[in-house]
Amino acid sequence: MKTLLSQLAQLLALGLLLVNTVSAQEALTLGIHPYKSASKLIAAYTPLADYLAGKLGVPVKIHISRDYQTHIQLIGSGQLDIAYMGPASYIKLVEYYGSKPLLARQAIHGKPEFRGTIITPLTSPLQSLDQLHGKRFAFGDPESTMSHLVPRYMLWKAGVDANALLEYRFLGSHDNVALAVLAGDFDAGAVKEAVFRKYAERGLRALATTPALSEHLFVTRSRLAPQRVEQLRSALLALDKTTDGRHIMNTIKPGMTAMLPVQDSDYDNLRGIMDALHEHGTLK
Amino acid sequence: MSTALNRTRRSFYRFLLVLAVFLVLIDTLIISQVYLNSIEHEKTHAGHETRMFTKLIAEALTRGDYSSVEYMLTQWARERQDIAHIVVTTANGFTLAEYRRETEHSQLRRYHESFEYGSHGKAIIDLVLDVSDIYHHLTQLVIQLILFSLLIAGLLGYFLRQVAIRPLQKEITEHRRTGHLLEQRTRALAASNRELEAYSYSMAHDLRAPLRAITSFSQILKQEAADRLNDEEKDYVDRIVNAGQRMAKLIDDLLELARLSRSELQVAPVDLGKLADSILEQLQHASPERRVDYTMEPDLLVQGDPKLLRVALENLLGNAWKYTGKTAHAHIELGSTGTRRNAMRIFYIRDNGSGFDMQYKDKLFKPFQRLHDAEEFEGTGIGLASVQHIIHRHGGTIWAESQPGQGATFYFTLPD
Repeated sequence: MKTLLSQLAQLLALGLLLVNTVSAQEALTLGIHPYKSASKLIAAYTPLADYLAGKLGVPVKIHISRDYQTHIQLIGSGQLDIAYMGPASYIKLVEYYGSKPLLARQAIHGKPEFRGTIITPLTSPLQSLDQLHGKRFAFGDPESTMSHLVPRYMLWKAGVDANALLEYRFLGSHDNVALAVLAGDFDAGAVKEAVFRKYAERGLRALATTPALSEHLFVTRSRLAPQRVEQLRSALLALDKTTDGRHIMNTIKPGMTAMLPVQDSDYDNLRGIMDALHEHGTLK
Repeated sequence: MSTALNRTRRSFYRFLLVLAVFLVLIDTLIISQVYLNSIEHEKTHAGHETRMFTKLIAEALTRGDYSSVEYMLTQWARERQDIAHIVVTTANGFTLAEYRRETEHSQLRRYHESFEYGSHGKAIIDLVLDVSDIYHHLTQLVIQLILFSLLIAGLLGYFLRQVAIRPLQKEITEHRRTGHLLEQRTRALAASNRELEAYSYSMAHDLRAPLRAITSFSQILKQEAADRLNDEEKDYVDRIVNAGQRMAKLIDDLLELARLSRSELQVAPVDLGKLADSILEQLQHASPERRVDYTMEPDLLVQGDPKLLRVALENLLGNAWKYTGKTAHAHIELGSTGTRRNAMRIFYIRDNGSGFDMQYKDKLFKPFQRLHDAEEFEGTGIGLASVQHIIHRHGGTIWAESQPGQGATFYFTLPD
């Protein structure tokens, strides 16, 4: 009797919890991939979340994904309402989970595209990529578009496969690549253009430049109500119209000037490169 | 006395000065030693830390984490307030990371450590330590210590002064006061003495007129009333005349003594031998029947008043001449003992005359005191008093030795 009563009470409590969860689903979740520490990311995205909440009339929570792969899974399976992600992650997302409604892509200093640079010391005798045979090469992260994938593709196309290099290492970050090349530990390395510019005057020059790739973008889960998607898109595209909006963008990333319209074909060139790398076996 | 005080005071201050300099030197020495030790400690400490830090960055570089070096370096340099400049340079000369703190100080110490990373990476870490904090701290400390030492020396000096110099100074002041009082008394005494001398002189002078009247009229009486006086009465008148003449001589001698006391001392070199020669010649001339031998030491030079010294020798030689009058082979000797008393030469005049009894030697130099009666040896008793007076005025002393019938020796000292 007593146990039955307590079981009933437990059931009742569970039911209340469920009701609570259902009502909390009214709130939207903004997911960010972990390109910085969680506390820094929350600080950077809170103004945006508050802005969106104001525009939509519902609370917007921030979720920092455990890693890039999990991030793709979460938005792909619809557990995140909105997701911010890099171009390579987006291509994987589409590849695994089909197309998603796109909101906007970021523009840094007005440009919604970015490049990578294959760097070498100012004093280096290297003039073209094919001369990298038997040299040491520094990459950033294996998943990174500009510090690995695109340059890897370019090297391959120039006839320098990875095993043609004397040595290649993944140093984790663009900054590490630039510094390692400057320190003379590698003959060349791959970084995004902004990092090249940051370190250029300490003794770097560009050996080659990648094609322009479309910038990071915001997507939503597939089943989000169309009017919500529209509200979100217009809210993001309007960010550069107000001082507050520009401030919000600057908090996310200094130099971010606008959110611009985006479509899936903007990522075709990168998609082509990644497909080629798959075929070649560099990517699994 | 006050020069002694000054000397004491001077050596006292010299002692304090030496003490202060010594303390300051010790302070400086100690602090500079502490400074060197601190710097050495700081360097060792920095060396340890640098080696540890070097391991950390070597690990990071081996991992390929180049960008964390700058961060680690900045963190470490901020932690250690004394790092003025730190830089990590790779083998190709590239400045991988650098931190510089603005400092205007010049108290800097350098330190460097090279290290390897990865399979072939080499780098060097250069460190500049700013030790001016230690330097300033110790400079302050040495100033405080020196001030403290000077204070100690000052306090020591103060107490020593209270204990040693003050009582001495007090005693000297007391002494000086007594001396001053004494001088005043002496001056007063001299004044009254002079007055007395002046008084005696005028009195002696005044006595001469009535005395002359007495002797003159007694002689007139003897001539005018020669036939009316019997022999006994004539003898009385003669005695009056003789007594009057002797009194006149006495007064003359008194006046002479007073004159000696009053005249200024005119100091010049005087040869006592020559002086004695001329006096003895006079005496011989006055009594040509006497036969007296005399011996004289050569070279008896003194500094004195020639007139006064002549009077003194006249008296002394006159006495010798007089008291050898009844001696068979009279002999007078003038010389010096070759010794000194109170830094002055001792001279003597010796005769083989009648001499005197030593029990009366205290009376010898007192005026009007005679050891022989006038019948035996004529004289007024003023002579030796005058001699003593003259010798004293020259700063010397006079004394005599004798035995009755064995002659007398008069010793006196004079400056030469």
